[in-house]
This record gives sequence, C-alpha cells and structure tokens, in this order.
Amino acid sequence: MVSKSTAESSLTLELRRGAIVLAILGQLREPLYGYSLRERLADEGLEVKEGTLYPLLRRLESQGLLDSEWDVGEGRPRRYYSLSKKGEKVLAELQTEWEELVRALGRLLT
Amino acid sequence: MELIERYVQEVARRLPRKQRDDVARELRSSLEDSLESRTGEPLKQVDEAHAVELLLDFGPPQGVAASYRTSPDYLIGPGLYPSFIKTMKICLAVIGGLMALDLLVDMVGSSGGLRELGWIGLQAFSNLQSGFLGLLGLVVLVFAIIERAATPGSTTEEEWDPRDLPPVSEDRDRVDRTGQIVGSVLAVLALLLINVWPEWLQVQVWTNGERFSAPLVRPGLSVEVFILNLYLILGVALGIVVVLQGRWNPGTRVADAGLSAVLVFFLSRLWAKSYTLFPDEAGLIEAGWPAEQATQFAGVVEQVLSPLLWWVYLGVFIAAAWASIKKLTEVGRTMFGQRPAQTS
Repeated sequence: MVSKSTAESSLTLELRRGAIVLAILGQLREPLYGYSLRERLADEGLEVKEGTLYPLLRRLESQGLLDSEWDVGEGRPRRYYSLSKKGEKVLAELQTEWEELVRALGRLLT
Repeated sequence: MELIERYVQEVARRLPRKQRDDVARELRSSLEDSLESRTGEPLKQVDEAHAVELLLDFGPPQGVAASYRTSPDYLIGPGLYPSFIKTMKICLAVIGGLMALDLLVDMVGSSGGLRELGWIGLQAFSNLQSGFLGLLGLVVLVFAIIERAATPGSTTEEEWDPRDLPPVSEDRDRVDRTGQIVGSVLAVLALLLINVWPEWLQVQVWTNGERFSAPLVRPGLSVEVFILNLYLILGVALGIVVVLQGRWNPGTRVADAGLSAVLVFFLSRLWAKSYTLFPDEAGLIEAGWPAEQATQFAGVVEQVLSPLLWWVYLGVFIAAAWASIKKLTEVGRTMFGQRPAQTS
C-alpha cells in the first residue's frame, strides 16, 4: 500500500508537471540556457529539479516547441533555448487553457 | 572536476550514440554553473563534498539518462502484451505437441529397454528446455521488432470517428494480429529447422545403448524444399506487413491468395511423393542403421506412415485449396467494391 506522504507527493508532482511546461514556454520568449532558466523559475517560486529540467527542454525541442543554439564564445559553452514558431502558437493555446482552468477551479474550490 | 566528469560519463554512456556528446556537453556546463552558484567559488576551488551534494540532488545517472530517452524502455509495450501472451501460449502448445509426437515416435522405434527409454526421456527433456528458450527468444524478438516498427500513436492517439467503428458483426478486413504473429513465429521456426538445424528433422533408433539416426526425408527434394522456403519467407513478410497495417487491403489480399496458391502447389507435389518421402530400408542401412532396425522401421513406414501421410496430405490439400478459393473470392469482393456481407 502506498503511504500517504508518497501518494501526496505523487499527486503534487502530477499537478505541477503541466504547469512547469507552461512556465518554461512562457519564460523562453527570450533565449535562456538551462541553468539561467532554472534560476528564473526558482526566483518566481517555481523550483524545478535540474535532473528534470534539462531532459524536459530536450523533449520540448524534439516536439518542435523550442529552438536551441550553442554559444561557444568566451567562457563555458552554453546551449540557449528559445520558443519556436510552433512553440509560440502552442503557448498561446496553453495559456488560454490555463486561464480557463484557473477560473473553473476557483469556482469549484470555493 | 573529476566527480562531475564521472557523473556526465555515466549518464552519457546510457544514451543513444548520436545524442551522447551534445547532452554530455550541456550537462557538464549546467552542473558546473550550478556548483559555482551554490558555493560562490570558482570551480577549481570547490570542495568535493559540495559536488556530492549537487549530484545527489540531480539524481542517479540511470534515472537522468532515462528521462532523456525518447524511445521506449521496454521490449514489448502494454499494447502488444496481451497478443504476446496469447502467441506464447499457442506456440508452446504447438511445439509441446510436436515434441510429444517426436518422443512417441522415438519410443516406438526403441528396443524397449529401460536404459534406452531413459535416454529418450532425458533427450526429450533437454529438447523441451532448449526448444522453450529458443521459442521464447524468437517470439520476444518478433514482438520487439513490431513494437519499434509501429508508428507512434497509431493505436490510441490518432484521430478517430466513433461512426467508423466496425459493426458488432464480423469485420472481415480486420487482421487477426495474434493469429498472424503465431503463424509468422511458426514459419520462422520451420525455416530454422529446415535450413539451420536440419539435424532436428531426423528419425532415430536406440539399440544396445547406441543411437542411430537418419534424415527424416529422403534426399532429392530440392525443388520442394525451395518452394517451401519461398512460401515461408513470403508468409513471414506478409504477416509482418498486415500486423503493422492492422487491416487487409486489396494488395495484401492478392498476396495472401497468391501464397495460398503456392502452398497448394507445394502440397500437390508432396502428395504425389508421399509414398517415397521417408528413407527406405536401403537408405537407412546406408546411414549406418543395423539391418534389423532398418527393416522394422521400413515396415512401419510402408504399412502405417506412408498411407497415413497420403490421407493427411489429401486433407490438408483440400483445406488449402478451399482456403485459396475463399481468399480469391475475398479479393474479388474487395477489388470490385462490394462490401463483405455482414452477419447480423
């Protein structure tokens, strides 16, 4: 039997999963590399594990939602991600969906 | 830092080759950024204990590598698993039945001594073990190929219209996936038996603890063997195509009818030769059999096996010819636009 704390953390994880994608797409309107994106999200109160973030960025890129480019100038090489054309369209749709969801849940939870 | 390098290497070696260098580079760069930010010191001055802490937060390398992979981590997914179990059950029943028959033939052919019977039993057990493992490997291989060849989303994700659902009555165009896979697996087994392990297709006899064997089929059937190989290879190819497509279409129906015609042709040739298929007395003696056993076996062949085989071939021939005619009728229906009749 699953303990309560494990079940709770699993539900929390599930709830956050979709929101993290939306937050990432929202932040990548401007190019950011993995670590700077993670800092940006953390500053706004959305902590994402590094082991989760980097593979997620790759998956979003393979789905055509992100573009990426290596910056190998001075200092450490960094891979910058930014929203693709398809990503922009998907972000707009997800944002509408999110706003409707928040309104609906607001009514349902009060 | 060496610990970071070791971690990156452990993640990268679990990734597909084309992805490896790129992910390793990004991972290394991100870990180093993170480490410097956490400690507020340049990388060269960072203590190893901080790196350990960071890597523990990051997670075990196998978990991180798994989240990078986009191809399935399993050989047979939930979509194909029920068909896999059904196929294994049918194949095991068929192989078990054939082995039991083989055991029976060997026991009838033995001199009846306890020692010989013990040897036959032991060999049958060993054959059962290796046969089971070989079969398991083959079925898993076939299903793993289908799992990877199937188009992603072809089963549950694609757009569909409830009005397109087949009627409750028989849907003749739907492919019986399990049946096709079982047929393909058995065909591959037959191909292996004929071409790779012909020593399994032997008739054996034990006398005074010594084993004598001879090929089950007389030499000189190269045309028939070629036709059989052709039939089996084309059958496997067609099986894979229809399993992947999920529905019969005019092209695959024509190919199926053509294959049935090849089978009918093959059976007609064998039918004509059924009385001269097994090795005769002279052939067995030439293979090194003692004269007494050769005469005994030739007698069984002449009086029991050959007449029995003649009737079996006749039955299979009629069944194959009937199936071929039915398939041709189905081709006609499909090609000339008439919907198959539905039973209500």
